[in-house]
Amino acid sequence: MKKNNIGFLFAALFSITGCSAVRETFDQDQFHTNDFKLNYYHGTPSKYLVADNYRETIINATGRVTFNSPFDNAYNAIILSDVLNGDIPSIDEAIALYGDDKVKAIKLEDYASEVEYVFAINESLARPDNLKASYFHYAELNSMTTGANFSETIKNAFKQGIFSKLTDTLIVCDGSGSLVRIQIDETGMGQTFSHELIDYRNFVISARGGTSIDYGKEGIPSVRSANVRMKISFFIEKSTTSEALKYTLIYDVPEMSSDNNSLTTVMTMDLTSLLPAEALKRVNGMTINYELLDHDYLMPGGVKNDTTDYEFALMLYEVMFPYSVWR
Amino acid sequence: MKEESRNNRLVLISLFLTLEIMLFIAFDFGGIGLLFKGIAFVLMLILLPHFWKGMQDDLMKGLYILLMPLVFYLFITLLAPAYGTMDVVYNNETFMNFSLFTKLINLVGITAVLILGYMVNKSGLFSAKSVYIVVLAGLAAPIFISFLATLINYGPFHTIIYAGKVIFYNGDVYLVATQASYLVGFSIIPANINVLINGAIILSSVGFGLLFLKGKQEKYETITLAVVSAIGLLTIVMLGAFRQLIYLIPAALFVLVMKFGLMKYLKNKVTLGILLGVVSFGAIVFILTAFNVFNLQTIWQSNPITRRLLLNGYMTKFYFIFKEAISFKNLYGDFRNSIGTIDIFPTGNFLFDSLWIDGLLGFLGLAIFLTLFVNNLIRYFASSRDSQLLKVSLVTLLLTMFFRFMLKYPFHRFIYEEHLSFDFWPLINSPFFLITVFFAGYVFTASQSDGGKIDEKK
Repeated sequence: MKKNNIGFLFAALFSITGCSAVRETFDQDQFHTNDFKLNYYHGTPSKYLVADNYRETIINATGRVTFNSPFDNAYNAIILSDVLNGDIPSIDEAIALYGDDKVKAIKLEDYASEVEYVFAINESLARPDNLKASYFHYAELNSMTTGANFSETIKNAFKQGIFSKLTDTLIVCDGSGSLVRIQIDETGMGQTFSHELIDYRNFVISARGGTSIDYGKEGIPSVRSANVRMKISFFIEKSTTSEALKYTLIYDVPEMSSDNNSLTTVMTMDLTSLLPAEALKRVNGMTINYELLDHDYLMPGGVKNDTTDYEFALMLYEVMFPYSVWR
Repeated sequence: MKEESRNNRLVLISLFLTLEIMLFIAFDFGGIGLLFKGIAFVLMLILLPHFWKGMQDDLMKGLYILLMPLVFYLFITLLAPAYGTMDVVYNNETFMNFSLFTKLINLVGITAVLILGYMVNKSGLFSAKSVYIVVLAGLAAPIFISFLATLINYGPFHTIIYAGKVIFYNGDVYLVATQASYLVGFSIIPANINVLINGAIILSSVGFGLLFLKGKQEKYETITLAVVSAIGLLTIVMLGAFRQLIYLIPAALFVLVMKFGLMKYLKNKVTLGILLGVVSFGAIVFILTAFNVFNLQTIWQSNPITRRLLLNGYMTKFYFIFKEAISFKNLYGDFRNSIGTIDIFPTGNFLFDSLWIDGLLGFLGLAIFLTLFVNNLIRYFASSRDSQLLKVSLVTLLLTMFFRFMLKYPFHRFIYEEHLSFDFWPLINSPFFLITVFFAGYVFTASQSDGGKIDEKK
């Protein structure tokens, strides 16, 4: 009887194990080696790899995506959109969030009308030297783990797992090298979210090219950019009223920053203008793929250089759905 | 008459609340521990008039002597910079951001905890059994909840199953085997696994008391010790942290000595001489190495055994902290975590942690208090009529606590960066220290007369 009790106790203890904290584990130093070829991440949920699982709609977004450096001013590219759409409720709030001392020094009483005042504020917020409105600072405030409109549940959900490297506010390397980025090849990566996207507007993705080329050894000048075709897919699961859907945005990045002191290219797009209304409602997963179109050494003129083993990879740093709503 | 009755009722309620407060203090309610220290102070003020007459004698007979170093140590925490604030804090500095009010409550609250321990024993209102059960239950509850949470989040034996594996959180990488879920206040937070193991090891040690079980008359004590000890052991086993059982050796040796009456063989001048010799030799080697006399550090470096023994990560920190203190460069506390490229703080050793953040003066206060407490404890152990079962359990608990915190004191308990802003666990916030202070007061009366006890029938 006593043995039964002890057995029951252990059975009970084992039965409560959920292992929620260790659903996604990796070997220590996996993806963080000195060997470029060992650092690729290939994690994509298998359901996203089967072509027939989702009815796909492809949208050509080339020319409708803006490209910036992480330290460029983001005011006209995205912050103004947040203000106009009411996500930032007032110009005073915009000043508080993104205004440096020069912006804050502008006073309404110094202008003949409020319109002139707002114009002056907008102009000053968009100044290139206003680093408070840079993409770098914008990401600190609007990442999936810091956004003011996200509940703690949503923030915590986006803090879990390796995908959190893309939600941790860092849109550019902070000196930690491979620890803060995800390196992918053309097979790409994907992620299923634990929540569904309900409302959205802008989408931001920060990435750069990276190669294993030893420029010194080869005696060639560093190639600072590459032409890359991005393919970003969003997945919606089947429901009682809809079949499983997949929306793929394809756009070219003519000058994707590459091997350029870890400088990234920040890509911003307005999903509401690219896609039919509410198309992405209930999205709970995405994949990121790319295709190298041109690289002065690895793919000169769009033709693969077969004489070298050097490789090109896409280094992903951040994805953001600023002011989106999730359930 | 009416007034006296009311007073007594107030005393009864206050003493009962004192035990409740000790339960909550032992439970460690995270950020609201300060509240309980404040309540402890208020309870002491309520009870003081009633006990003052009897207490006056005891104050003269050594209670003052016991209180003074503790109060002095706590006073130093008022001045020590590490407990305070700084406008700009860097990663290599420790500022715990305690306000003056918080520090004052710590001073009066912890002093009150000791006096309440004294009063609880002096009152004779509660049996030793009740006091021990309350304290042990308070210590065991968070460990048990944390154990279940760890099991749910990481599964059994996760230190073995996930050895060498990492997880990502908020973009950073963390080793799975170094983590556990820990109850803090009303939240479960991923913590350093040593925090849970510390509690589990300390709880396990009380089971040694069961070797002194006599008959069936000690039913509640037996059940309590068995359950508490089982919680500790089960936690260690299910975590797969079997090597940590080594920390039970001091308690096991003590129990063996007591059980088989070996003390009479050890209590002689030869043993004392050997013990003093070993301690003195160790101290001399430590001091000479710290000051690198005779170029000892180079000599130790040349041999793999001495290098590992005397120049390991722990010892390097200890030497530096000791030198700074003994040279009077650190009198009432430092706040730096590193000097140049050498990491100094935290050390993992509660005494050296204190020597660094409380300085030489604070450390002396603490060390004298602990020495006096041990002295009182020995007298209590020898003379008190409390159950041997409970007395042995108390000593094994304190012994294990002492040895565990000599190497594994977790000044920082959590692992995620987002918890760093409140991740400080100085001794004055540790329920283990507060329980020690309580028992310092509780065991003090052991060598005293029973005068001053209130009528139990009331």
